[in-house]
Amino acid sequence: MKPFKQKQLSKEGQRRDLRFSRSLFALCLLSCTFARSYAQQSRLEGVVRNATNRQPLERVSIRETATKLNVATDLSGRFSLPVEGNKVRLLLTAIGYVSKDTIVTVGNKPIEFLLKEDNTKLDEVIIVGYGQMKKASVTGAIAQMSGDELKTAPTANLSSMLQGRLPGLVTRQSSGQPGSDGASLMVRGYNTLGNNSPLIIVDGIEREFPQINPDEVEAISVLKDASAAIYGVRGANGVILITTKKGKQQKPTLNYKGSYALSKNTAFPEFLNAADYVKYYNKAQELDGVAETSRRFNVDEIERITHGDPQGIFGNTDWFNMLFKSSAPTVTNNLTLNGGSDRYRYFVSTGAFNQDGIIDRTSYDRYNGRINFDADILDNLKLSLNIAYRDDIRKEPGLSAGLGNSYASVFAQAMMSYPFLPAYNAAGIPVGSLNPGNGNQNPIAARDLSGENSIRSNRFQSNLSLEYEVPGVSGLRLKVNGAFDKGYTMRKAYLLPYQLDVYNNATRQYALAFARHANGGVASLNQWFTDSWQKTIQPSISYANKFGAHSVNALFLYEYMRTDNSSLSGGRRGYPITDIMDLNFGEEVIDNLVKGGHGMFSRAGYSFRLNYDYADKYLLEVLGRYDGSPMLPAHTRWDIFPAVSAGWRISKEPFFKEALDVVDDLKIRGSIGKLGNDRIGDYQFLRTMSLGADPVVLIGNTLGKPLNVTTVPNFDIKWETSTTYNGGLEATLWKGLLGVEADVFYRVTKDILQGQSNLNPPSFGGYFPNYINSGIVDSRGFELVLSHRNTIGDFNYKVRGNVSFARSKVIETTENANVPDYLRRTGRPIGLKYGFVADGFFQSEEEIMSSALFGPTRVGEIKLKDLNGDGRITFDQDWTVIGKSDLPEMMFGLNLGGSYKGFDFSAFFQGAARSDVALSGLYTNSGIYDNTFYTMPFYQDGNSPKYLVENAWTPENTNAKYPRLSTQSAQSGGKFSSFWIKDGAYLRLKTAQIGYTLPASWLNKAKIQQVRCFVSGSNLVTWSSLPYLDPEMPSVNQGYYPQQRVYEFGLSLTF
Amino acid sequence: MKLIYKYSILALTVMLSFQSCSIEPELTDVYDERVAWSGEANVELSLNKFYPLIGQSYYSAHVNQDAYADLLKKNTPNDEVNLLILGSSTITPGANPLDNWSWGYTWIRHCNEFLDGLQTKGVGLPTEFYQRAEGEVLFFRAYVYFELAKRYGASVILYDGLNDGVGRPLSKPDEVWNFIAADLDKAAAQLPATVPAAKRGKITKGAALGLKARAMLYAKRWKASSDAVASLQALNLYDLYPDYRALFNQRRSEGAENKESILEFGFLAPNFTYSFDYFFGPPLDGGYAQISPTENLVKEYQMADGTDFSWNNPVHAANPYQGREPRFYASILYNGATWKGRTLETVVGSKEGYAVGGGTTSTGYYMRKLFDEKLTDLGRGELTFYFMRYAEVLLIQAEAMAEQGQLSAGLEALNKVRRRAGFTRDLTATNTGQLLSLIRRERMVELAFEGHRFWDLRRWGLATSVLNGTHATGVKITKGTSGNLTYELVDVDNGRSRVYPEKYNRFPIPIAELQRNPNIEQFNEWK
Repeated sequence: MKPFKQKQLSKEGQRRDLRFSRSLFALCLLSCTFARSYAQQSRLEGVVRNATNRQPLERVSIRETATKLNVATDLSGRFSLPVEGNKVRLLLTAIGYVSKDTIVTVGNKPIEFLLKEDNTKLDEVIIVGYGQMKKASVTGAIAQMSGDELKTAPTANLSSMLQGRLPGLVTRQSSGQPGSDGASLMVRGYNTLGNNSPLIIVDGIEREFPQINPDEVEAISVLKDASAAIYGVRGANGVILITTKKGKQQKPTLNYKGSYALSKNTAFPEFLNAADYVKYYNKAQELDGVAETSRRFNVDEIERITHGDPQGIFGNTDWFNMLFKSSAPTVTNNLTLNGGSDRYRYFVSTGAFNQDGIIDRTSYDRYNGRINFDADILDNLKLSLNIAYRDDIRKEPGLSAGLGNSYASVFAQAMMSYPFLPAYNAAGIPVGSLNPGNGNQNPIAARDLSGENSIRSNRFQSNLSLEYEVPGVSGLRLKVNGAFDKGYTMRKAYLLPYQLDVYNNATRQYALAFARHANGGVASLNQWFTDSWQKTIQPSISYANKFGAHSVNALFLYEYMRTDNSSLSGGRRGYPITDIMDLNFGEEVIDNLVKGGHGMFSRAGYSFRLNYDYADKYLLEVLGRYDGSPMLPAHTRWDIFPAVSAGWRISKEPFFKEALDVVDDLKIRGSIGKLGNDRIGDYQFLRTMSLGADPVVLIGNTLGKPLNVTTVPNFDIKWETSTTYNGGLEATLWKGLLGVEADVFYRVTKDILQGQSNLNPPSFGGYFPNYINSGIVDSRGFELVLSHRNTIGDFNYKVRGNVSFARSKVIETTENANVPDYLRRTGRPIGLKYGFVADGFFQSEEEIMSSALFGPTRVGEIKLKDLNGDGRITFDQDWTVIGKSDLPEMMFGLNLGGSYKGFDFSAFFQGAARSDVALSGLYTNSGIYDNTFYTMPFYQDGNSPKYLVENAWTPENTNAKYPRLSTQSAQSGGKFSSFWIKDGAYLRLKTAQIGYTLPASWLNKAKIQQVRCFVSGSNLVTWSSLPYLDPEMPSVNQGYYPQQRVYEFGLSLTF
Repeated sequence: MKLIYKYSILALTVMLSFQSCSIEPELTDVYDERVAWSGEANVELSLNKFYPLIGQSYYSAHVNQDAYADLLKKNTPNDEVNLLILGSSTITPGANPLDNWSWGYTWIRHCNEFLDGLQTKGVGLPTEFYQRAEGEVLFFRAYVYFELAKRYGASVILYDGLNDGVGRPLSKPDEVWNFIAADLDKAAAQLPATVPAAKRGKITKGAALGLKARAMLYAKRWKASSDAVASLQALNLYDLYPDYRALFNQRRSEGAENKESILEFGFLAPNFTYSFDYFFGPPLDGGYAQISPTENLVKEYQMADGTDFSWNNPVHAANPYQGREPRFYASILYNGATWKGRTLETVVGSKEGYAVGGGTTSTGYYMRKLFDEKLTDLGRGELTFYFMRYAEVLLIQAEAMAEQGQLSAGLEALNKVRRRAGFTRDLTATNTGQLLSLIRRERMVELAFEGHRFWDLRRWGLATSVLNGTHATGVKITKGTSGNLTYELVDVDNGRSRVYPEKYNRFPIPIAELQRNPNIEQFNEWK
């Protein structure tokens, strides 16, 4: 590169800087000083590159020792520094690189600096509670990932992008519906019998898990052990800290990233077609002993269904094929601007995310905006302002498309529709299947004609903090951080009536009828509005100083938070015209949908932290919180949650260096602490009454509402406390070729807040406190991370694997002494599945005669074990543990990444083990035990997956995979049995990506700094024991929105 | 170092000032319990919560219970009721669709909680109001205990106050019946005989006496039962409504005088309605046709002249729906009936015709009684429900008198009911057995779909024969090419025999109670 050109470019860049600065000025009236640092006399020009692959390095900080001036490199690794004299001493530092302290001579040629990668990553900054810390000094168990890692996955819901990446974080994504496809998150598995959700902190403030553009995320860290004690009563289930990006000291850099993705179902079973349906249905009836004349399909009908019906009554419809599109598009557009001077830095981001579902009329659209601004107002006064805004809207048909458990959902209707009917009659009216007991079905009409259910939410989040360095006392700072968040949600649901030409199996007749939900053919609308606002204030004092080898760091912080909300709803029915569905146009107000209310919640606490280290070698941390909870009565409301941890960097000891020089760094650490959990319903310690929402009686001609006793109070309720112990080791060996991080933990939770209805006989009528402090749970486990990175010539690669394991055990719970041992929850992990033990199929009448039975039983049905040997199969006596929890005990992730010249690639394998899925049994949302479409042929008189009937037991196929082919539901209790428990272990190629960065020389003319295009995918391959269903599907369901496999094509441009 | 102190003090002052930020919870969606006892109006609100007990489910629960008996048949073969009556599922301590143990004790607790609160916090209330409020809740408590007693052979646990955390043993049936009688006696003493129109629907003295008469019938305390009826009659307030059909077509808002109604539960559209017609109505109404009357019931409707109907009588068999007593036309929708402006067709192959599989009738009939012919939106029924009507009281009187051998008093009560039904000739009987069988048939017809039959059969000891090893029948009507109709009696149980073992006469104590209450033991027949 010619020096002349270089210089010209640099000036060009400066002019651009000014333009950008000015446009920003208009935006935030703060930019008058942006360009100030570019005023210059004599300058040192330089470029910083990676020592191994010569790639330019951005964000390298260059400090001139004499003048204490600081600059940073831009995306092409260049910097420019005003200097005096011709010899200067520079200190170059960059995260992930070994710092360089060098003296250079100022000439007219730009100087090239080479930085070596620091594979020890010791200077990486770790986000901790109310602050941050160098990784080398951390003594708690904290897992962290950078936002950059998210870029290797197709854009999706942030929570589902975390799966397998953070050791200790247990995840499960059970739906693929746009807007509802987040993963549930838990830290180190089950911790309590109650609420196990971790605390979510976004930019230092308790907030919901953010639906944000992953490009805004700087880092995500998880506090897994006693380090969460700084969050006191909210810390027991672990804390997930999310921080957003900040502006950098660099010229304004604009990045555009756009992508187009297509998604498909990961797994969905094939259902019966018309010919197979009639064949298997009649066969089932034959086996059920139904006389030929009484069977549902006669010979003529079978013929017409199988070979085409000239009368046009029958058809052959694949309802699922009509329900699912072949693929669904997602379009992502993001624009970020990042820059700043030595005094002001800004990060501005806007993004749009538009996702269509695999089922038409399901969608999720999100628009994000964010401005993070930092200013050094005075030398000792810093201001930081974050403003973020989000608007998202989720839509689905009026009859829900989500979990099929809900009444008349699109999925439930697809499962219950008959494949032997046409989709439309000759007049074009949708055909309905009349399903005895469940009404008429047509999933396509339900999807397209039933109306719409939309949820639109807006969130405004802001933080303002001022930090003041007290003059005269080195290291003493006062800070106040305030946050104000505001959100509203508008939900609008309308149901439209539509007509179906309904086929009645019993009478073999078609008749026009309204769809099952549209009683009387009346359209109705219900609209809800909720408004919420949250205020947080966090004043704090901190002190940091070094006295020789003694280093001290202290923080004392007060936090007060108040959340308010109010809500309003209304409804009308009877719409003469349904083209525009608004409350205005309905004819009749639905009185009991006119509602409104409010709520408030506040909490406060005093957090503290003290860090001490001696010579970077002996590390000690004491932290905690004196915390209050409004959930508790005054005399148990406040308590202290302390924690202590210590670390020893053995590798810093002289004897160690001599003995083991392959070890670059080795730290062992341990922690112990007490944490709390107060997640119970409000007012459990007060005697309260509630007024029922709806009338319950007509006295005279006046409707009367009831005044109910709300709960029986527990006046002495207190919080659950967890004591957690953690031991850890961090090491890097062979100059960073191998990195090891290992943690083992033990945690015991006492005074668990739980209901006691299991303990008290029903004859008490519920007259006892809802919650009592009872029960003990412990959990133990480990996490192990091994990483390796290396460079061979132009080829850079890294491998990072992690395994985490967590197992809980109930030590004590509200369990009656009379419960037999094999049914007990005490002594066992949380979340186990209970039921009968299956023992193959009955193969003969003699076998049935000589066996214990649950009820009337036929050959080919599931045989159950008589555990107590009383000759009968009974619910109370013959149930035992038949399966593990849905939540896996073990999670693993393997990250492979590398680059070669302009190419980069990554692949991420993610898996889980030691969990089970129940195909039938207890519907967790309704508490009812039953079969499902996946376990019983013609369940609810609907369609069946092909595998279930093809491999069913018949007299000709006694060595079958599935029980007897039948149309009757009484299956001898087999639906509650271990037969339907499947191993939930799986391994996925979760994401993979290949990117190509165009050579810089091609782009210079276009004034573009960087162009990268990429192809990526998620859920590409899955290995599991469930060949027809996704292993993360919800246990026991009547159909659910399948998880999606995504292919994404994208482009990133940096100016 | 002075500076440190200065700034620290400043900072501490700032921080401590935030302590004024309160975290005391504010009540935002519930009230302090003191409001419950702060005045009559609020106590009335607490009383309201008990009223759903006497009828908010309308007749849904009752028709289901009649389907466990022989009056009605669930049309879907795999309906839970059909599975039980045909033995596909069985009653066990773990699973019993007719179990009401938890339901009952939850309500007992609510009653006791109210009575406890009234005694401790309602002392300032006016005496008359206090007595009435207490009387109402005593009535409800007695009713819930009666419903428990019906199922568990009156061997249940008694609580006259809030539980003290110790599981109690079962009481003896005599103690339970005494307890129920005492509550109802006290309620009858404290409740007003009448209430003004604006309070229609409130519990009265007559309701307490009527319930006592009913309960004592189950207790087989015939004298106590007939005495309660006598006290009720002495109030001089009640009589039969002249028209059986019109009786079941009344709305509270119409305000018609109805002396037959002893305790009723009213509805008011649009916000306080029921969906009975939606679930049970014929398909062309838009109903789900979940249930149909059996021929077992239909054949019991006599001819208008008081003679029995018989399929063996060729005149009857040729035109089975002609010349029957008026209650037949008020209660049953049959082939050829006029309904909602159409002629109902239940012939095989018609849209509302006989078929097996659900969604239409499997017996050849639909119910008519309890449906509202004027209703267009089937989810918005608002006809008045009768918790207790005078016709039942008369039938109780007839039975109690018959059991005491007072045949003429029994016959007089029975014939009063029949005269209202349009019969001109009184029935006669020469012995108790004969009279009892007449009363049993009359209860079956007069009280059809009101949920009495299953429990009646159990207390008469007849369930083990009527509901065991039998088949319910229906009528399959085929229309010939010339329009001629052929009637064929069919087995609506599809060839399967009904199952009712003797131990069903007393339901088992639920497993949860046995496991958690050390002082209770399962009944011998269920061990």
